[in-house]
Amino acid sequence: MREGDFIKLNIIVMSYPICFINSAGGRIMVQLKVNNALLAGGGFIVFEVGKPNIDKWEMEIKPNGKDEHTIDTAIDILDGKIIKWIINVCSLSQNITKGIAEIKIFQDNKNCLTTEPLYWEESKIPLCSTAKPWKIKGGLIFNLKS
Amino acid sequence: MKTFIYFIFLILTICVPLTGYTQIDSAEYEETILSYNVPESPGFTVLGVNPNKVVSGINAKPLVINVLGQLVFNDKLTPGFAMDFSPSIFGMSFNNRNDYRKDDFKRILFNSSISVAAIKDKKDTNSTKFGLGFRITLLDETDLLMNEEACEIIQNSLVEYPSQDETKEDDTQELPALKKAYKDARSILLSKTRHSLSVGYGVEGIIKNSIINKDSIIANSHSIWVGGQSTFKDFRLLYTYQARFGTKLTPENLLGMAIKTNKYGMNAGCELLYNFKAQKFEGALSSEIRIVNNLSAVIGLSIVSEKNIDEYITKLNLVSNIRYNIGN
Repeated sequence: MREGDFIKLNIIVMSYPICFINSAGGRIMVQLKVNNALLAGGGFIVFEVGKPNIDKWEMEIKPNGKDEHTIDTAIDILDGKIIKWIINVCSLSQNITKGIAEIKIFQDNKNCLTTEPLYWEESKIPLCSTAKPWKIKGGLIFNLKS
Repeated sequence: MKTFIYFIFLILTICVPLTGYTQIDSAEYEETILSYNVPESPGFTVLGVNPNKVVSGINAKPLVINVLGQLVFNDKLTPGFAMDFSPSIFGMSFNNRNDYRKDDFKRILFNSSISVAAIKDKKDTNSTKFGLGFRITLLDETDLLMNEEACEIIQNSLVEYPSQDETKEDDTQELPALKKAYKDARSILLSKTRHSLSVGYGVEGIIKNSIINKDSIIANSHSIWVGGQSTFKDFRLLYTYQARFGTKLTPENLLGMAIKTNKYGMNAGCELLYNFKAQKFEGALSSEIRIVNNLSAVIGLSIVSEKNIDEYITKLNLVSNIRYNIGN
């Protein structure tokens, strides 16, 4: 990666919300939720700027409206690392156009407090048949509690 | 002058979609709008002016506006209007797919349709005929949300990985994999015959002098109907029973079936009905053609039995209905 790109990427990443994690706590669990019988799927990566991805996984909403994934990476390695995602949401019914998508980060069953809510609301969710889903892009940075 | 304007409208509703038809890719049409066939307006059904007499049994749409032009040959041209809406537009929602599948009452209400329709009275041009209708879908096996396998295929295609560098991410909104997955999901769903069933009720009457007050509104008849549908890969078989009754009316019963297809870039079909009161068969040809994304035209040419003093006479009836499916 060129130095200019590296700096630019660092600036983008620094705008992400921060999730404070406990160094003595258990593994991090990511939960993706949508309401209103919507369909959603997403890809997630964990990385440090300029280095290969540490982890990647995909999530797809189960009939109960959510999906969960536990990150295998050890807590101390996650410190300062970035998690990024793209979530695509669509509707299978013309009668369903409004909905909410939400990401929650848990450690030891406690919701991680982020500096910004990971919660999105949309009133014109496209039909899956249009092949133009509602796209949610974002990320956050893990920081160990001091 | 009015008749001339209505006639122009009728011609336009037939000619405009026919000119647009050649510009629409039939495969694209089949995969989008016709995946969401719009059921007939209950308000027009109770007024007996639907281009399709054999009503389908599928789920309702959130909000549909219908503008009608009806021409019974050797008779006056009748304009009309109907608005159909689903209670879902008032903010009903589900927690998740399990909730949608298991809460039958809520799902049936969510996919139901309420309809208000009005047409000019042919006998008394100062008055307006109105129709209020309600239909519920008790079963719709073509509903993709009810099929978990179809949902999983579609959701698989929604997975898209981000890049560390956002500038390297594809910013186009279209997801080609989703288009293919949607088609595959529908193919799997329609690999077996799927059935659906709706029931409806409506009241038809007159608003005297077209002024709405309690003395000017007279209810003439009530109708109930059942509409069933069996969906095969390339065509649909529809069947209906309709009964109309009222205090000053000998009960009327109609039994009919239709065959329809979404192939060839339009929703076309033919129907055959038996009118028990007239003791005559009635037939119709109809087609729904998309004009632009949300706008389609339904054209129906039918042979109907109409009472003329003591005997029933057969008339040729041309109905065109411009349909604006707002939720599409």
